[in-house]
Amino acid sequence: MKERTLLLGNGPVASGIAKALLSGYAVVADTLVADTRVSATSASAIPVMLVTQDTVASVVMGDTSPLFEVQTETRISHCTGSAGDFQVILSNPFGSTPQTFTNIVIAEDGIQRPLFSLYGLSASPTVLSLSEFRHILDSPPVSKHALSAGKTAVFIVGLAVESHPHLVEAVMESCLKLQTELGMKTMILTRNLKVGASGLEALYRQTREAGVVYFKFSDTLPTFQQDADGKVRIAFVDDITRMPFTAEADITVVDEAIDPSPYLKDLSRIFCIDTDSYGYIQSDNVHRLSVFTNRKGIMAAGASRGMLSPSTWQAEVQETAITLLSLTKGKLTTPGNKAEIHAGACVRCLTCFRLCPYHAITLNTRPVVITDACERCGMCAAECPAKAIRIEDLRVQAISELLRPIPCRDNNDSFIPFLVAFCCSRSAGRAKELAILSGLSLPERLSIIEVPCSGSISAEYLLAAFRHQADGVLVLTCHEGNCHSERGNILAKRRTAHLKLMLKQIGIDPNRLLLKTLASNMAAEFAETTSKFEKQIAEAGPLRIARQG
Amino acid sequence: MNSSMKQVMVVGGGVSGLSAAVDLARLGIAVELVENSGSLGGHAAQLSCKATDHCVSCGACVVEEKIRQATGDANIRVHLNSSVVNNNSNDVNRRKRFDVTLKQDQEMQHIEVDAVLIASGFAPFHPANKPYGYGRFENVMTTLELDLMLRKSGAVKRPSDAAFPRNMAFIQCVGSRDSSLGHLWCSKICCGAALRMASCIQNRQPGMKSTFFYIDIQNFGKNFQTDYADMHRHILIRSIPADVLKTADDRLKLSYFDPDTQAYQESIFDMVILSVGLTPSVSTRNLAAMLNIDMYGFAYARKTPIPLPAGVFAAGAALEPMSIAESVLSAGKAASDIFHYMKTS
Ligand SMILES: Cc1cc2nc3c(=O)[nH]c(=O)nc-3n(C[C@H](O)[C@H](O)[C@H](O)COP(=O)(O)OP(=O)(O)OC[C@H]3O[C@@H](n4cnc5c(N)ncnc54)[C@H](O)[C@@H]3O)c2cc1C
Ligand code: SF4
Ligand code: SF4
Ligand code: SF4
Ligand code: SF4
Repeated sequence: MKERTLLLGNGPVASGIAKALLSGYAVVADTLVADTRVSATSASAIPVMLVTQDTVASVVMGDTSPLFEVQTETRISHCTGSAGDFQVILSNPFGSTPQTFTNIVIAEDGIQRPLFSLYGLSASPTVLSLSEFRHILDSPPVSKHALSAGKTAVFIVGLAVESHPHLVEAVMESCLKLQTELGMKTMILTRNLKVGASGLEALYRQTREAGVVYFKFSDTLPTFQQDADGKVRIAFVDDITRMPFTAEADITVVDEAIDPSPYLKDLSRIFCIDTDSYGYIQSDNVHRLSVFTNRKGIMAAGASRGMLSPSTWQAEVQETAITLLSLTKGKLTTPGNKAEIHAGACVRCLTCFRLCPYHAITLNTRPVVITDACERCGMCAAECPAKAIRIEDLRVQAISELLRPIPCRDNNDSFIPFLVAFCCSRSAGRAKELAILSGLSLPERLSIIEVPCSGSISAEYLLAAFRHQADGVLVLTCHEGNCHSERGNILAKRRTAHLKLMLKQIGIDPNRLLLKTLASNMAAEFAETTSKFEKQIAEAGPLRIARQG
Repeated sequence: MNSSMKQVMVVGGGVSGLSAAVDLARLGIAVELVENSGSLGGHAAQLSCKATDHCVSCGACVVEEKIRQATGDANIRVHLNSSVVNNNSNDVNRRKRFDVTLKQDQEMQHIEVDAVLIASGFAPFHPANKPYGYGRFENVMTTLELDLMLRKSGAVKRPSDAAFPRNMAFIQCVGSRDSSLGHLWCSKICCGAALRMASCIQNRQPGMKSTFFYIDIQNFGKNFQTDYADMHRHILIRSIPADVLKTADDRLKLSYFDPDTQAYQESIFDMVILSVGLTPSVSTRNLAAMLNIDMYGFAYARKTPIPLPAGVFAAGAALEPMSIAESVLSAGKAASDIFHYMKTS
């Protein structure tokens, strides 16, 4: 299929990405973000369709090109398929149309919501939101708006909810302008001054020198009283001097909360993408850095993936462009055997379809694995009630072949238990490597089986380990929230707990099975966990069960 | 690696250098990855995992994944224990080439590349001249040392007697936001790093209490508001202590102006941890000079980065204080800039 990207959004990040794609992934000058005219400049241009809910597209084509299409007042209503071949239904007031795309980029803007009500204030010509005020300040003449020498402007930032460096920067820049250019008095009321961004601490010092007054609060906040004359009377106890203090503001500027676009909620449902607790369309999982989602071929950029400062938008655009390029070059495909469904055995329960964290299983008349999107997590194979799914090198037989008991090094009399550790290759597998590199001592008879994701560790694996003479079995997985397959570790936890009950029933001490979470950098804990377990099993003695089969 | 490929030298094998190398290799550009020390990973490889009962997305383990990707990539050649000792740039057929001299042990080696990426990172602030007893009292440590201790041993113990601490003080902004040092920047990462550290230790060593001495708490992570709620497990005092002294029973006495009582107070702790900030490194400065960049290759207190000569790029904490997630993004941007430069030059 010919490449074509679906781009959702209508702001600077979306326009930047459109430009980068239309120029064959290359033209990404720093001015790009501010300028919303796009043009197809390269022979290797990637076609883009920009879809926005807005009635007017802010991104326009500099010269007409069939490579760039825009659909306004349009929403996504359905999506099937996978990277390389997404089938999407676009809906607008005139009807619905199906379209196909190779990739999808979500770059919807966020929204800034004024917080008047949190301070008991209401909008008026002299009580303004930060955005409104910035707009006035940028459009001369400013004197019309009671901005004149000697007057006092009070800025509220990060009092009721924590603020953001990007808003603090806007406040500080405004104050500087009012103080130095208009001869006004300015005051900033805040809790934690967010200066964690380029140049902000220096700007803060500059505003202090220019006479901007800061009041910082910890526990008790100021009270505001908005009078009919437009003035706001502020009363508080100063945190530093503990003295009661009142101030009168001629102009009050109220900060805003930065929220994700509400549309993201629908998009997350339609595209089956995990969100974070705020509703941004990228879970707070470090494996998704920078613009990945849990779905191959669907990226999230800018204010769609997090509360990011506009100063990072240029980087977001460029990162998205090179990620798309690597993707289309096939550089992001996980190598190795992929899941295969044995059609004859499948009972169409759809467990696999619902479970796959990457949405790599689609439904035709029956479930089908999209090989390219499959990440080999093994969750489907482990959970299929009909055992209709297999990943060649993760079959129980294949795993069993790796389970050779390690003989004792010397033939002294003391019992040295044989341990099997199933390790998630991204976390515990790396921790083991680091432990060996750092010369930490590991149990003598420890056999390590690395699997792509702990989600593949089925009860069969664990029982096979016991059958192959393991005296103790470990399941070492990643921490909750750090699973590349999002929920593989949770499944592993559930299965281990379940198997413990089963072990008890068949007369094996459930303590011979242990699950522990480890990050890839926890070499010391890897050594400690395995050694402690060795000691515990050594004390418990060899496992004696009737070993059949 | 084939000879017709464009080549980039990435100087610095921390998370930004590794990340850029991986991105470039995927784009079909050959990378010579030069690392001063004997191992890859930079500062992130000294940090410990701060997970409690769940991952707190600190980003530290990202570097392990990047090391795995970089060392497994045929387009990336890693030079450990190597440093750049000289650079001659010349124009061959109107194309700029860098003839870089690398020194590994006592051996010199010339490598020609089309572009150079500065990813040489930062230097943690050295707090010896601060009145906190660092270097004099064993139980005064930096956050980086505490991270390394936790990473190496899985537990936090007092260096003086190997006892588990019952209470610890964290002093924030050590070496950052400090006009007496001329450090007019917030290091961005230390509020989050210290708070996550305190929660993580408390989780592993129940009963351990932490007290924070701070100016402002900065946002960190994507879910700052939720992390912020967790913060109230600790005692937060908005004051920067005046000094730290050792008591007769080998504890640490910290005096500070208490905003609640409006008076000087003294508190006793088992350990005092200094949240050291990020500072520009001498190594980056030297490297910048070799590449004909004015003295400073970074913009720690600036809003906009310093313009770089053609073919020279920079990423990560060499530019300004940056978290791991930001370093990964910054590396992606640099890789994209380099890709663009290669196409057009
Ligand atoms: C105490 C502490 C805690 C932190 N906690 C967190 C956290 O929880 N989360 C987070 O996101 N960030 C954290 N950070 C920040 C994190 O360490 C940085 O974001 C990250 O290390 C930046 O990576 P870098 O590659 O740019 O630089 P570095 O990590 O400094 O790596 C630079 C590399 O370049 C090498 N090098 C330097 N000069 C040369 C040269 N001339 N030639 C060759 N090689 C050279 C160095 O040896 C090093 O390997 C923390 C930092 C500190 C100090
Ligand atoms: S889980 Fe197994 S039986 Fe159920 S639909 Fe998938 S392949 Fe078929
Ligand atoms: S192995 Fe994992 S990624 Fe592949 S199809 Fe099954 S559940 Fe999906
Ligand atoms: S991101 Fe941090 S907390 Fe989460 S697993 Fe990695 S090192 Fe641990
Ligand atoms: S992040 Fe926090 S501790 Fe670090 S310099 Fe900024 S305010 Fe200070």
